[in-house]
Amino acid sequence: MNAPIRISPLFDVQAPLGPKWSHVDAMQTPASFGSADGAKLALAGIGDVSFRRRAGVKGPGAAAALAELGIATPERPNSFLRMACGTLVARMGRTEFMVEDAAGGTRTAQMHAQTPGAGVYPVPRFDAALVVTGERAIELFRQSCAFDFSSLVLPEQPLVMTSMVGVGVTVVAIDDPSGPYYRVWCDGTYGGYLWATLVEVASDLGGGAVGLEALGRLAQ
Amino acid sequence: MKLMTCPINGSRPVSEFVYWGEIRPMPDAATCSDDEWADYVFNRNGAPGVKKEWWCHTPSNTWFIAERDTEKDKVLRTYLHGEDE
Repeated sequence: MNAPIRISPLFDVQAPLGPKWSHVDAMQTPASFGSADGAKLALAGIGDVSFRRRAGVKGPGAAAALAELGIATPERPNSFLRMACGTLVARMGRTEFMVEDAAGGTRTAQMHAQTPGAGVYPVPRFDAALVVTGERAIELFRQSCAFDFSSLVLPEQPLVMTSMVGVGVTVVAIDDPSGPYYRVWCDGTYGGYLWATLVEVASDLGGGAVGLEALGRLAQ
Repeated sequence: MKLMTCPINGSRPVSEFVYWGEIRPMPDAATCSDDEWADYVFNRNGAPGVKKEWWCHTPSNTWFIAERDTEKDKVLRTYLHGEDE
């Protein structure tokens, strides 16, 4: 039995494009939008990784609660780190964190199972999660956002909370041998609008929606 | 583009912020007169000048205080609650 039990917040805007589907972490997710995915990925690709399981926690005791579970936390607000197991840990402020599992990871399940102590407030996360790739990604951001992403120092693993096409987003810029790429999270209810708008802008730049097969390890 | 400085996130377009009004100390409802309470509830000071105001950086939900000259519409400084020296 391989029926999806989680629905991507982007499903309604992706389904009309007729992608080839796959099931990842019990969520139906586009595996491919067509043979041009690879070319789009290199210019301005928009991928959906909403299937990643994530959990948030905030409060003065949040960092200690994560440490109890063996989850490392970034030292500076507005930065992120990736643990050796692939888990992505984002620090969104002084005392707020978001943890996103790698494939098959169980960190967020442990967080959900943990009884919150004093000063620890769990934050349910139902984000739409995107990957933005390609050499023209910066141009895409220039058209959709007032923040200058070219000013980021990638080795510092920066995290930015800003507004993109009117939607509040959290963005991390990831340094990669193939070139920088970006992970974008927003409230799931705005996800369809954000995805469709970014895909439209990306199309003007020679890119567009890409599936998991083209994303490969960038979907991690 | 007008810019505002969030104490946590730095300089951002003012479109990322919402204004939540002047900071006004609430009188003690148990001891103040009806006139003082009515003044607090119903009246606002529209005279221009330097005022302390609540603002919020909406993408990060960071609430902070801005000291703004409402005559010149210039933000003099911004800081988190409790960090006023």
